[in-house]
Amino acid sequence: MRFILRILAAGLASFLIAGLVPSHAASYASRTAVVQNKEEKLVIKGSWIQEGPPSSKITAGFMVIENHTPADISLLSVTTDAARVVELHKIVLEGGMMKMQKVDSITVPANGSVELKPGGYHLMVIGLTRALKEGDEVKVNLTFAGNIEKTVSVPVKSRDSIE
Amino acid sequence: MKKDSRLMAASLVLVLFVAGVTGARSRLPVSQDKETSTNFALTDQDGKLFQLSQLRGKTVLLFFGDTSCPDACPTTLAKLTRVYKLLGRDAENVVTIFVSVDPERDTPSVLKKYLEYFRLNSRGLTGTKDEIDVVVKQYGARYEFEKSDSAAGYHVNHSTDLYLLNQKGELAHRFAYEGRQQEIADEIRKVIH
Repeated sequence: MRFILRILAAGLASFLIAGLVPSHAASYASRTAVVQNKEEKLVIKGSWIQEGPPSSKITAGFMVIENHTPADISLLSVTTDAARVVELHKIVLEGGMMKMQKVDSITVPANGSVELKPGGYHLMVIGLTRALKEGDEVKVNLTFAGNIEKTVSVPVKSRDSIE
Repeated sequence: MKKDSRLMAASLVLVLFVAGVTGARSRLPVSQDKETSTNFALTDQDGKLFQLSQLRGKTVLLFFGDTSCPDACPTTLAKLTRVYKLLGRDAENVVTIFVSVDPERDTPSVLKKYLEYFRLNSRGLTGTKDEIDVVVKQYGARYEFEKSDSAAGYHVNHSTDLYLLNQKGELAHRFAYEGRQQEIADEIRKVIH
């Protein structure tokens, strides 16, 4: 009888392990896979932050963001360990003047890319907490719609090394 | 009472003095005749009175901007650093003038520190809004302040042309923002030689 009970207990345990744990693990794995998949489909390339005069508390950051998914993805906010605030800005030439505009988001088109570059979109890095010199690396965290986050290490470069 | 009268008299003298100084400086280059169109007066990065006529015999590159500008100004200044390299020894006769249109943020000391970063023989100029406006108008430049909720405060929108002045202070060439460094160096050489 005791032997039968043991077999039943083992069977129940096997049922639980087979039925519950794997299904939980599988759902966790699939959720992770979705996020990882999305992350891999967003690629940051050629990023750099502009070295500026040491007295300056403001600078700009640039990069190419590629979206390898079939849906538009919006960049919503950016933070860095090197400055108080990072805003999304755009330069437009209007009426013979260079005008700066703060924007709420930057859309990366489906299966396309957006380039943040001088004379266009850029990360406006405001309130630098340390002087940035060529060769430094700055941690930049980008938050996209859908709670997708990417952290990249962005090199500091002078304009001379870019042109 | 006696003390009050003395205080009032001293204040009056001070007010008249300030009005006289600013009035005299604002009157400088307003007419369109040859003399004034080749001269203007502002305050340099050391807080001293600057007149364009001080640079007679030098070739001058002039442009308008502000030190909070993240794009056009550092792009232009970095480009001019490369132009100076292209010019070699001729660069000794070239002075870059950066006129800030934002006197509230760009004090002489801010301008000095900013320009030190760019390896150029340069002058950073500021003044009262009226004084700056005279020079802006003289060269047909433009600027405006735009309110913004940015943490950086108000935006300064400005034109981006670069002006090449010959040894007499006359306008020799006007480059658009996209002007290439080689083109700028070539035009400077034409003026020098």
